[in-house]
Amino acid sequence: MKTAERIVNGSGGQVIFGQELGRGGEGSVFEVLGRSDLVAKVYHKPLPKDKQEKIEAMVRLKTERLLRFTVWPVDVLRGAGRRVIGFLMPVLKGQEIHKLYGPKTRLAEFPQAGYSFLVHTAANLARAFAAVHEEGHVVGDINHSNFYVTEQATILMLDCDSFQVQSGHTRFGCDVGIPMYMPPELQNVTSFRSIVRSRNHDNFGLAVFIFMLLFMGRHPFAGKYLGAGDMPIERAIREFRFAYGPSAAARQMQPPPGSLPIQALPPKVQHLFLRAFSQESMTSRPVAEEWIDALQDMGSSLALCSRNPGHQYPTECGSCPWCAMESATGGLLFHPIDPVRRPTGAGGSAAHAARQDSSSGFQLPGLWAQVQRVPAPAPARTFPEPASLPAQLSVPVAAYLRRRRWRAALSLTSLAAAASVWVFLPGYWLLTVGVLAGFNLLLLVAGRGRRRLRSARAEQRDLLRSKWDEVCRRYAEASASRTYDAKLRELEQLRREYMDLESFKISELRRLEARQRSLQLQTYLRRNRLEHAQLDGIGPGRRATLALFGIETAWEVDAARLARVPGFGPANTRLLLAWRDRIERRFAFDPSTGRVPQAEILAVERAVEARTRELERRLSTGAAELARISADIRGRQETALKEAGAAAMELAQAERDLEAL
Amino acid sequence: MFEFDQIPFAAEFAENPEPRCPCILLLDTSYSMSGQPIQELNRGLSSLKEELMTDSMSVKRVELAVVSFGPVQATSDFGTPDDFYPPTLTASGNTPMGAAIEKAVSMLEERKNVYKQNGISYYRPWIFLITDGAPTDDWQRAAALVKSGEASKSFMFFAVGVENADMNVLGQIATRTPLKLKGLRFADLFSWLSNSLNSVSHSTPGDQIRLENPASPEGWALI
Repeated sequence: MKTAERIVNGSGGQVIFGQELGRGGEGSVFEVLGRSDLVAKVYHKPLPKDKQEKIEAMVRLKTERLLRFTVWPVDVLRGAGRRVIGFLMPVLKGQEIHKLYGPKTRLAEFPQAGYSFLVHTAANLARAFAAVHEEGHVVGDINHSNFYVTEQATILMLDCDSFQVQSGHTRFGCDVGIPMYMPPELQNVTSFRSIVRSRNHDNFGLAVFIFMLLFMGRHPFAGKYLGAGDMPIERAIREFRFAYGPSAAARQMQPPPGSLPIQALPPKVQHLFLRAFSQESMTSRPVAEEWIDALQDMGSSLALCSRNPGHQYPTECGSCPWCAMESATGGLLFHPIDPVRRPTGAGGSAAHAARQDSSSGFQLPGLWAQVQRVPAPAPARTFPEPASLPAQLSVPVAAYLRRRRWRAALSLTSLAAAASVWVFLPGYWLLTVGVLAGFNLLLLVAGRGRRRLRSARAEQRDLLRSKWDEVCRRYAEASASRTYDAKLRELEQLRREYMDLESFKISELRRLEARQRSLQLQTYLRRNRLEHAQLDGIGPGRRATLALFGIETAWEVDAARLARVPGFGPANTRLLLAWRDRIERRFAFDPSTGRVPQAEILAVERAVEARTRELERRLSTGAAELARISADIRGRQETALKEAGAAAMELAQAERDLEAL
Repeated sequence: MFEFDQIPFAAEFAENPEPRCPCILLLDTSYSMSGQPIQELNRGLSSLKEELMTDSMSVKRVELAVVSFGPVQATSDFGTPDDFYPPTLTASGNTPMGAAIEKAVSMLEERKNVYKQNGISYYRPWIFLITDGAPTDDWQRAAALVKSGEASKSFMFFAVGVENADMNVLGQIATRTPLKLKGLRFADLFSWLSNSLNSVSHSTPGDQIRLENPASPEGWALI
């Protein structure tokens, strides 16, 4: 700090500043030499008397408890004339709270934080308010930059010098406040200077911040307004238009689309929000202790989504609300994990005492086992030709054949009779003729019966044959169906893609990193201007020509471009290319400035997560589809097989009959 | 309880439900901007993005869009600074300022509608016009739109004239006094713009913001 002023602490010891760490509207914060645990806040302008007294009082009022939750002033800083010019306070740790409750910044700044972390932070915020309130002070200026969250989900409040501080009977006021975190009764205030701030005012702001932590950064009064015109947050607060409350509809408000329904929270927590934001209870909003109690309970009974270990949720929900919100909006609320490495079964529970849910989760191993249990259709069998099967004669044919044997016997008998008449009674030749005629008649009648039977059987045989053919065709058709194999192959491919999602993501991120490197190289080469290069043999005239062809820096030097410059020979080209090479070899990638923009990383993660969900959907429906296809094919095969047996028997019999006739 | 259909724009608002401050840059790319002015303007756009990115609240709340003229076209649609890729503008054509203003006003109305549908609160939008000439089209209707928009507090309209801009016509279009850029101090202009948007993004939607006076002796503008 450029000052001739000698700066001392409360006990007169000199304080020497190091680097300026930050600069705000009111003052700057500096390192303190020799004290790595402390920093110094120094105001830009001389402080009025009452403000000086406030800081002196605050230093006197510091307590162990306050220092656990705030960066409370621990010592005054005095300049010339013992005037208070600032104070010493503990070093701030953590990040602004809005970086935690806003999903986009949470993914970057608190990548490990799951919902349970948010609930713990909310409870710790309530603990911080409880500490300040119990010491008799009021936070007053509640805003998104005044609460810091550490990696352990603890809270540190800053800008304590703006608190309303109670020192005995003296009250030092809080002059500031951001309307979107202020209660309805302070919405019409034009100046906070004359206003006495109360804990009940603070309790409104506390509830707003707890709400934002639990509702993914949504403000309780930012809803979908169904009336005409605009509904700024301040007006909504003034008019008690809590967008998630039971009277929201009556006040023309709806929760924003894709937000967490308030019913997802434990009833106790829901009730506290209603009390904090409704008109009826505006004089007795929930105090910090009530929040601590309710949030502690909530935090210790969260269920764990089997899809994403960051997705802890209140057991009241039944299924994971974050999965539902992520797939409905397409946005990311928590970092997705490699789906293949999801915890399976109860063994994989996270650090928190969370219950495992099994209803909503997609688990590839289980699903794949299910796929593998689906029986494949049997390979097609070839049936023996029915004609070759042993078969019994049908009843009518057998009967006919029996009758024919009788007739044969009869005709032999009559023939023998005719012959004996002829031999022994030559005079009775007429009788012989009569017997022969009778015999012939008998043969004639018998022959007609056989033909009739035979043609009837042949007709039946043809019918049976075509029935047999038809059944065989149906069986072959069912067996030849490729839908099962096609579906199985599709599932296998989806499974492979699913297993490769993580490596796909990694390769996409590598590609982005490589692009950063080439962008940095480009900038670096562009900084090396040809006009300043030490290149003997390429004079100002040639350089001017090169410039005319757009070659002004090392970036533009390449063989193709140089070839277009008239009169630029191979020797000069080699010289220039060597110059560019020399420069390029000196290039060292600076990873600190070459970081891939968070938005691009998130775009990859979002796309991969969307594909994950898509693949899970297709794998799940595909597995069911496969089972259906398999059942269908096997059913058709079985029916055909049964019919084929019967048809073959009948056909074989018909063939046998015909053979016999 | 959780059966909702896919909602357009939902991803960006689910991931970032902070109130938005939309700002349309209405940039003159007529032929007269050729050379240094357009180069400085392009550089200014990049630095605007960079400066807004350094503020953790602006990066979530400010939304930039660029409409260039002529011809009139939406070069970049609304996006938060991390999602805003500054275009490289080239100078050509005439100065259809009237049509450009009408386009900007209708884009703002559309965007506000999206906010409302998604339950996103917003600050009074900004339209920031930078020109070095005079309109070559009918600007009366645009002027009327600006007047009624300012009167109903639907947006704030700032006009900045560069070099030989027709400050008289700008004065008839804008209700706020148009500012004349000192030389080609685009860098200072955009730095002021990002500071102003930063202070807006730390306030509450509906607040009155006191902006730093750009026409102070050290400022980038003359009145």
